[in-house]
Parts: sequence; C-alpha cells; structure tokens
Amino acid sequence: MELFDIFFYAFGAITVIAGAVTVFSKNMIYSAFGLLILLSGVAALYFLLGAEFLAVVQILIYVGGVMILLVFGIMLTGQVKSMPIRENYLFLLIAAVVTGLLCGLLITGLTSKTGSALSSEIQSTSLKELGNILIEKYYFIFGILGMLLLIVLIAAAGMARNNRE
Amino acid sequence: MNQVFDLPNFLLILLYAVVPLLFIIPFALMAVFFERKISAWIQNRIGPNRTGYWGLLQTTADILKLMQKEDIVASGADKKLFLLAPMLVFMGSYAAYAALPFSSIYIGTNINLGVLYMVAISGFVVAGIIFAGWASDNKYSIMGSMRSASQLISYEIPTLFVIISIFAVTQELNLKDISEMQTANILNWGIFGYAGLGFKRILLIPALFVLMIILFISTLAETNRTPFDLPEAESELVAGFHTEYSGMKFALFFLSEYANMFAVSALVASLFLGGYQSPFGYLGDLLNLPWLVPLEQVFWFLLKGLLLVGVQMWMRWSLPRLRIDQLMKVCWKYLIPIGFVCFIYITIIMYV
Repeated sequence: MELFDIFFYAFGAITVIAGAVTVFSKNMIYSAFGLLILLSGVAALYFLLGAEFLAVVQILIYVGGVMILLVFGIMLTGQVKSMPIRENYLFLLIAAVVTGLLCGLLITGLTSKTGSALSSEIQSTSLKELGNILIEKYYFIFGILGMLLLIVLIAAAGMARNNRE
Repeated sequence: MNQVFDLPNFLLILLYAVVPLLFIIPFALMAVFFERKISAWIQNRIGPNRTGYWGLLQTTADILKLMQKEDIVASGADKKLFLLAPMLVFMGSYAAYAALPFSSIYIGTNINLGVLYMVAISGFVVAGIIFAGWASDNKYSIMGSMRSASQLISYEIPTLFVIISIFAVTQELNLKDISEMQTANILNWGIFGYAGLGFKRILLIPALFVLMIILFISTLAETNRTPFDLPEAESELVAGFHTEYSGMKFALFFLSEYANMFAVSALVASLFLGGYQSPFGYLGDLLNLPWLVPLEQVFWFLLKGLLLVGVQMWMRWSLPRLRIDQLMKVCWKYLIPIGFVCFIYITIIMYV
C-alpha cells in the first residue's frame, strides 16, 4: 500500500464518519460541525486527486460561506439541543430509493473501464484552461448560472429592503 | 501531483509542514512583546521593562504563566466543541502558511491557486470562532462570534475583488510565480505595475495603489484587529468570543491571531511589494555565491512581512474601534464599489 492510498482512505474514513455524525446526531450544532468536517474532507480528497481548483472553491464556498450561514441560522433559532428527529416511513422509503440509485450509479461508474476518470493520468488544470472551457464550450450554462445568481442577489436585496420599512 | 509517496518523501513533506511553526512561535512571542512596547511608545509610556533586559522576557513569562493555569471549562459549556474550537481556529491560520513563498526554494506547497487558497482557508478560522462562541454558552461570546462571522463574510468580498484584479494583471494566482514576476528591482514590484507590461504600467499604478490599500484594510478586518476588533470589543463584550477561555486554549487563540497577522501581511507583501524579492539585486549574485540568494530572499520576505505587521500595530494603537454599522458601511458602501471600479478599470486597460 502506498502512502497515497493511506492518505486517501484516511480522508475517506474521516469524511464518512463526519457524514454519520451529521446524519445521526440529535444536537444540531454537532450536525453542523460534522458537516464542516465532511465538506473539508471532500476538499482534502479533491486536493489529493489533483483537482486544486475544485478543492479551493469547495472550501471557499462551502466552508467559508454556506457553513457559516448555516451555523448562523442554527444559533439564532431557539431549540438546538436534542432536536426530535421526525421519522416518517414515506420519507424513509424515498430516501432509500434515491440513495440506492445514487449508490448504484457511483458503483457502475467506478467499476466500468470505459471513460473512467480514475484510469486517466491525473493532471492539474490551470485556471486559464478552465476559464477558456467555461467561456467557449459551456458559455450558455455559464450565462444562465450568472443570471440565476443575479436574480438571487436582486431578490435578497429586495427582501432586505422590505423588511426595513 | 505526480510525486512519489514513499517514506523519505513523506518525511520531507512533514519537515516542510513543520517549518512555519518554528517561525510562528518565536514570532508570536516577540510580536506580543513589541505590540506592548509600541503601544507604550505611542501612548508615551515605558511598557514592560522588568522581566529580562529591556523587558524582553515578558511574553515568555506570560506564556509560562498561561501554561500553568488551570484548564477551566464552564459548567454550561459544550465540552467537545469547547475543546475543538481553538484547534480549528489555529488550524485555519496555520494552513494558510502552506501557500506562502518564504523564498524561491522554500514554499510549503506550490499550489497554482495560492492566493485564492489563502483566502478560502481562513473560513476555518471563522467556523472555529463561531463554534467557540456557541460552545461557551455565554451571551457575550455568542454576540462576539456573530459579529465575527458577519464581518469576515463581508470583508471576503473586497479581498476577492483585489485578487481577481491581480489575476487580470498577472494572469497568475500562484504566489511564487507572482513573486517571480516582480523581479529583484523595486520598480517592477506589484505596486509599480509588475514587470514586462511596458506603457500600460503607468496607467495601472493608481488602481494598483488603491487595491493595495483595500487589500490591507480588508485583510486587517479578517484578522479581527483594531479598528475592526468588534468580535472581542472589551468595552462592550468583556472579551468577545474567547471570554470563557483560559490557559492554553486562550493561548491558542492568541497564537492564531498573531499567525494570521503575519500571514496576511505576507500576502500583501507577496502581491504588491515584491514578495521575497530584494528591492535591488542580490549580494549573492554580486559575489557569485548562489547559495546566498535564497537566504537573502528569506530575509527580505520576513522584513516586509514584519514591517507590515508593524503597520498593523501602529493602526491598532492610533485608531479607535469602529461601530458595527460603520464597519459594514466601510465594507459595502466604500471598499466593494471602489474595488469593483478598480477591477473594471484594470480589465479595460489590460484587454482593450
């Protein structure tokens, strides 16, 4: 076993444990902490696999932005400890089906030889190439996403304005 | 990425990872001492002068005292998070050192997105501060951590504006490459428009100067220091998010603050003030001693970083603390629009 594998499985294990804490903890703050570790574990895996840009953006957006706002929201709500977890069998069924499908998709993707990302040589993409791909190949999606963000920004500004008056 | 992960390589990586710690601890000791001395000079006092010659051992004594203190955890506190939060804070500020180019031969990891990484990783500091505030189960702590979160999230935006502007000029986010671009000549430094741009440089200089000030202010806010130290405002919040912390855990927060101060100063120095480059050639080149050059680079890097840390201390002891609404106003109504205008100006000059 190479050291690379050891690191890979160590980060993987941390991520999975953090995920379990996130899902099973009854204390919402612990869940949030688990989520923080989970997201950074995924970022660490990206780093390890050479996807620097994805890893940095993962940390910037999820750890630096989404997580902070999430914890902010949790702390401002009253009941944090010993939240009753709603157990509804219909939801459980839907969740089982969706996770089963995702799991199957991942396993088939990982085991199939053709077009597998794992077999190709790992190389780090430069930011320039990434930018070119975004602008040239996926410009439509890029534009739509930009519009979406603009709409969200305007809506947020509008909401903040209404609340003040 | 393609390097082999065998044991000697792994030990080398570990060694690389430990080097910044060997710098941070003595730096923090001396920085706390000089902070007190500088504050004393600014306020026309003498400052610490009892322990050791000229009071030099004062902070060492303080650290020894902190180590002996009883490790108190308030009964209402959440024990696990209370323990983990200071570690998270220190981890965040230590991880930033991975991307700092101390010299052309020493850089923790030569990541292509060094600048962005440094900004991103500071998110862990915010998370740690928020968890610290919550775990303390104290209203002052929680208010301090709330303020810290809103402040850090807001001030990340002007920082990112500066970074994309730098990216537009240099087309590089690798801190080492940016330092290499600013050759060992003061006129080629970032603040004077980088090397090899010819005539455009003259037009870029005003925007770059403004951007440097913006980066300095917004990173100062991200280190939670006066005039932006609202998360720990003594006059309102006792000690803010670390009210309940004592002993070594408090020392960890303190260490992290000073580590952050240097990291941020080094970032400003790397982007605008030449990084590890000397302002005028190297002695090693002159005497034909190639091994001397990296050592000189370390010297210049530390000198620039420490000078900017000195400026931060100077700011701390000459400016009063902002109010929370003023803090937000500075960020959203001044820094962000000015940064955006500078970004547009730079892109127009560079690409039209």
